[in-house]
Amino acid sequence: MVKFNRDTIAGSIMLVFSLILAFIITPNQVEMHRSVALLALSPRLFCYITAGLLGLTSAILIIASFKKGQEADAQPTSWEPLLRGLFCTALACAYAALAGIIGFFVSTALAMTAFLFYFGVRRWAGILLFLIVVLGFIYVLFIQALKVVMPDGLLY
Amino acid sequence: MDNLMAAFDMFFQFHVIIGVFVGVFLGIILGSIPGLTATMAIALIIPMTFTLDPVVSVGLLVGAYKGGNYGGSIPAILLNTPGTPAASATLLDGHELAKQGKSLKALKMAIYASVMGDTLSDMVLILVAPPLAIIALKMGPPEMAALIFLSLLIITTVSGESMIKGLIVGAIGLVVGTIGLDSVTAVRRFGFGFPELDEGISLVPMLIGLFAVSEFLINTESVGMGKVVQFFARSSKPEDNRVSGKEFKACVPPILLSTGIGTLLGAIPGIGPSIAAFAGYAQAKKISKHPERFGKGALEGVAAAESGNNAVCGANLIPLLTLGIPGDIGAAVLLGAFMIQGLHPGPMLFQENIVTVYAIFMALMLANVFNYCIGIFYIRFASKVVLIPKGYIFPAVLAFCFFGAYGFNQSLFDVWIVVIFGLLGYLLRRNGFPLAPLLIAFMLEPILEGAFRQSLLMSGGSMAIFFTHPISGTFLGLTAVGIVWMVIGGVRNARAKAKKPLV
Repeated sequence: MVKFNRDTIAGSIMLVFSLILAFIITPNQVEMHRSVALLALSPRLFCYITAGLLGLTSAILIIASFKKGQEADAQPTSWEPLLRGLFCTALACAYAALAGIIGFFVSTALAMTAFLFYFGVRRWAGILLFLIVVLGFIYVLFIQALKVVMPDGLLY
Repeated sequence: MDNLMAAFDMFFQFHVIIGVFVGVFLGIILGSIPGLTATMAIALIIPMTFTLDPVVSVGLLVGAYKGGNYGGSIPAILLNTPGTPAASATLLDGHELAKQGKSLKALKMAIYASVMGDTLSDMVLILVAPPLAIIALKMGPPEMAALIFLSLLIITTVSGESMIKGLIVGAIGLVVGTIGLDSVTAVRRFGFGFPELDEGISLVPMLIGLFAVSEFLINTESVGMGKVVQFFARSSKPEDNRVSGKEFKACVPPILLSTGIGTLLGAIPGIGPSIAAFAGYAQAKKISKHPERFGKGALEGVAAAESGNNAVCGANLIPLLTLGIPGDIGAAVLLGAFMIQGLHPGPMLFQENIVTVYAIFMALMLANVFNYCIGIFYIRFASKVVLIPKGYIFPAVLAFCFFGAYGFNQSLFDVWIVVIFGLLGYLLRRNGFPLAPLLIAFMLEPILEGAFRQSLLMSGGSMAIFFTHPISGTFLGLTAVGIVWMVIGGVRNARAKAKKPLV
């Protein structure tokens, strides 16, 4: 059975992406200018060049990873760290989404509490103090000093 | 002379000096916290600079860059954990000294060497940059395109363990750089219905995502798996807590040698402080009268590693200021900060903003003074800061990332850019792809594309223009030699590995 290593998978994903970029995304997302007669003026020129470069280098990575064989996969890889990272990415996405709905400061307080819990902080006094210090500093820096206008949320 | 006087007027103002001070201070503290790199320090500080004057802003960031690079040595010595990748060579002898109760001696030597290496390298920058900019002014679009192509090749191939992965990431950077309105025809490229993408991907959210959020996500993996840190008590003997005149004198040759190596390597795009530190360390060991002490607590080892990695700071700015080509991630982030402030590094910077350039040179030198003053004070209680639990640091970092990205354009779209590039950076790093080529290629894409298309317009569409112009032809020739050299090196490595017996 063919056993794929990480580089083969990464290279294949990049190669597929470069093909999609060249044959689907670029023709659909980059218009051809009517007045363009010269290749140099074409807005698609560099899109194709970069997609080609990505495809070529990805193909080389796949070939190199096949040559390397299974030695890279001699040690079993654990999925747990990746799942932890993806779980935190999902939390960060929820934070970003909530910022526009309930407000930046409230969503920050919720997200920070969740992440503090995730990182093993269990003392409520510590969490509260942390939130007051961090949110207070952010308020002074961004709202008072830099005059940043926060998005309107349901709360604050 | 008038320009110099004007630069003095511009620089010697209270808020500018405070800016440099705050930058160095934040850089040292953030750099000394394991996991927070100098680049991350700059990325977190950039949002604070939006409303500042260019000189204050650049002074603050340059200070953070230098402070962050030095700060990395503190946990390397105290905890055997480099605060920044550049400090990896410092721990070889620094932590051994700490085990012997000589942590304060090692920390002091680290700051002396860092400041010396940094200052000498800045002097080279000040002497070399202006004449180099005059030469760079003579380059037309074909030369510029060929030079960027050569630089990108060097950056992508030396920045990681795998050349091909560097090239892939560089290509991704170029792809990302094509997003936005085409500069020639104003046609929308890869807009996906989002008007926010018309001006391309915003640099600040992108670099915050790539470097700060990806670092955050990498650290979320190791919750509960952190290694136990052990502090070694300081010796009570005064001679173990200071650097004697004799010891300092013995460290001067390795410092000068390592600074020379760091400056030379730093001026070449792509070779970051880590490589310079190890190269300086190796050469210092060669010239040492007691090479056997290296790795067992040699003060010269700390001096060589620190002067080598800090010498890169000034030298890295040579290609940045004269050609607009950042030498490493830190310089790339600085390039972004320059652009935010309306300054466009390259030969024209010396024509149009010479006063600002001189003021920046002054900021660099003052940052070295502050680096010494703050560093020498900070090392006495650094042990308290380096042990702040990650559990508190990283949630705060994420909050600053989101607020900083939002504050740049006051757009929630940028917050999503942070999340997307954070995830991209995380996945790339997990699979051994370096991030520096992505950022640098992204930043150079508009210049490369502009120069490439202008050249084709000049030649009526003929690619021969790149080979018939002597300078661009030379750059392309060097590029070809580089590719051949890489392929031969790769084949040799593969053969050497194949010959190794499987145990």
